[in-house]
Amino acid sequence: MNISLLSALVVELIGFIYTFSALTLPSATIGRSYEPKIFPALLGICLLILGGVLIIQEILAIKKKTKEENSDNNMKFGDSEKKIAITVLNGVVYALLFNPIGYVFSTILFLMVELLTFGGKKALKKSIIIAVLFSAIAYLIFDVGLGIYLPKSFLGIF
Amino acid sequence: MDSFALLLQGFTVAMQPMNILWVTIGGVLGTIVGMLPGLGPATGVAILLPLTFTMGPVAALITMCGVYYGAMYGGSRSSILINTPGDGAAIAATFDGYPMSQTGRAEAALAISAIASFFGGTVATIIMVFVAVPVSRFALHFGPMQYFLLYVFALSATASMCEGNRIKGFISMIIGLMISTVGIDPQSGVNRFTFGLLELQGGIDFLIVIIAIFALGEVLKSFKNISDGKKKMQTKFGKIWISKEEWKRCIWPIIRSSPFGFLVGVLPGAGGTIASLMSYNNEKQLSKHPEEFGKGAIEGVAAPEAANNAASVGALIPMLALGVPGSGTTAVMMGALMMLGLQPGPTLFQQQTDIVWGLIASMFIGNIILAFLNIPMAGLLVRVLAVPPKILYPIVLGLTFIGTYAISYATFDFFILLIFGVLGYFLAKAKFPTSPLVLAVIVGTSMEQSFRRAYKVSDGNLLVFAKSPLCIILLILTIGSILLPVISPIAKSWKNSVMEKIAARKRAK
Repeated sequence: MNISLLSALVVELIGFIYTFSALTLPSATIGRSYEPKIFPALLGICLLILGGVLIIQEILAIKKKTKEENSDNNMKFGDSEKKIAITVLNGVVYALLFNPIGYVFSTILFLMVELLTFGGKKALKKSIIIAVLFSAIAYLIFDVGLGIYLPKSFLGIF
Repeated sequence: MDSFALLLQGFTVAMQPMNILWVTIGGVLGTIVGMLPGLGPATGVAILLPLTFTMGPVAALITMCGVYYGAMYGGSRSSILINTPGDGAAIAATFDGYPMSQTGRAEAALAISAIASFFGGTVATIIMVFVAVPVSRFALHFGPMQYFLLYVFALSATASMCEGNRIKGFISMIIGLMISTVGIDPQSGVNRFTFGLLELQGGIDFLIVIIAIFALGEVLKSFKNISDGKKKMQTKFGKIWISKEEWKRCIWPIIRSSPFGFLVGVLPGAGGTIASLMSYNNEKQLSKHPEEFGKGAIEGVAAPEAANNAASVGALIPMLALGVPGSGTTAVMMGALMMLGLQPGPTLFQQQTDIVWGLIASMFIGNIILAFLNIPMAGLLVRVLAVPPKILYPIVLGLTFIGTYAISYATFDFFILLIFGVLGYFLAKAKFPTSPLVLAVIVGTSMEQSFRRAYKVSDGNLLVFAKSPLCIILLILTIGSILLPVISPIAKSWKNSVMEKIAARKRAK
């Protein structure tokens, strides 16, 4: 599907969900009961209108364009999207491991995956060195130097 | 106390050795981040924010300003040497800077960009000294109605000035405002859009949204066009300086572009990119050698560089004096201020004189330090460009996560970071501008509170927003900012058709 049209439809969907949620928010017990709903409801209505205009614009634009131009704008799951998915998944694993195994070890793992995703498997040795160096230096700067306390590993040292 | 005495007082703060050290460190780090393709001042400030978390407010602000300035200087280094601008404001430096470096004049291009940036930044800071206090005094008369309309004006101007589809700019703005409504409503205590999650009751921290959109989003975007290795570039330089002849060609373009850039910077939504592109076009039209533009005309580097640095200072005025940021980068700076417990706006100039004037004085010092870093030490700094992006981007990723953790010490925020990073990526892919979203997230809460206060004062009468003359002016400005981009091409084509008709009639006669 054309990404511009898809984004317009998603905007409209968000507009519907948000407006509905805004109107069904609990009433305030202090002051006017509907007060917490006014601003969000106005935003939701604005988004619905803008989303509607965008959908019309995109449909008109698709009609004007040739088939080739439209297929250029289609959603594709290519190599870069695959790498984005890996990065997001890696981020989730990083969040889950951050506290249990400590900053240094979780960051080494996270960065190694990222360095390999960016640079390819050939650079394994280099990736390990950079990941270890970055994690150790960042720990020293932030935890020891700046007093931003980072979670320690089971070893209790870092 | 008058502005001059306050500035002198500010210098006593800014000249403290530790503060000079911080502005230097901030400047070097900012220059390095600014040089990375796609990473501009907004990203620079966003990912380097955690460095300032344990500093006092003055040192933190001075460091942030060093980063901001450094990134502005750094952006043009990569434009000149590898034809890859760090951010939009450095695009104009590629037009003539890169051809200069291709024809063996990289030294002159690097020198003039630093000299022009220094000049533009200094002139703009001098203007700021005289303008900031009157603006903040004027803003003291603002009530909730005026503030609400001022926010509306700043946001709509930013949304409508964005490149591409304006509707998408406004949608991005509304989404930003929606994000700011998440959490417990401060006036009524009602839980809004928290989906039952305890972690969302305090709202979504705007700093995380900033880091996600500007840093993580940019890294995700880079997968598409990341190069396999380093770009070929000059690494050995002769003396980085310019000849007398070159200086003569640049002096007037710099003098003209500095105040112009400042003015454009003050306007919400305009900023460094528009200032530099407009001043480039102005100089091309005024030049005796317009044919040299695009092929290595030195004034084609000087004018936009002076303008974009002046604009970066000008953009700080509405943020500091009114509490209304006019660009993505100043929005990030405002976020940094708020994180320090300072509320930008007119009262900042009344109650925190040492902080504000220390900051302004540090801008003078920062400019001198950055000119020093970027002229004699340019050869050393640009070596960063030789490090392949496939190593630099993962490091930026590492910094985004540590920055996020330092905000709240909660790994739950990593999920928020990832969600908004992916949102930033998809918004950019579908060609939605992200600056209006970030701006809206930051001012959203204050904007709603102003709206609610005005609504209460007027007993629910919305006509209160059109009662005072200032409100009417702000409404007209808002409508004008929305309509201007629509009207100006129509007016241009109408003017062209009229001119054509006149010319045709003359020919017929």
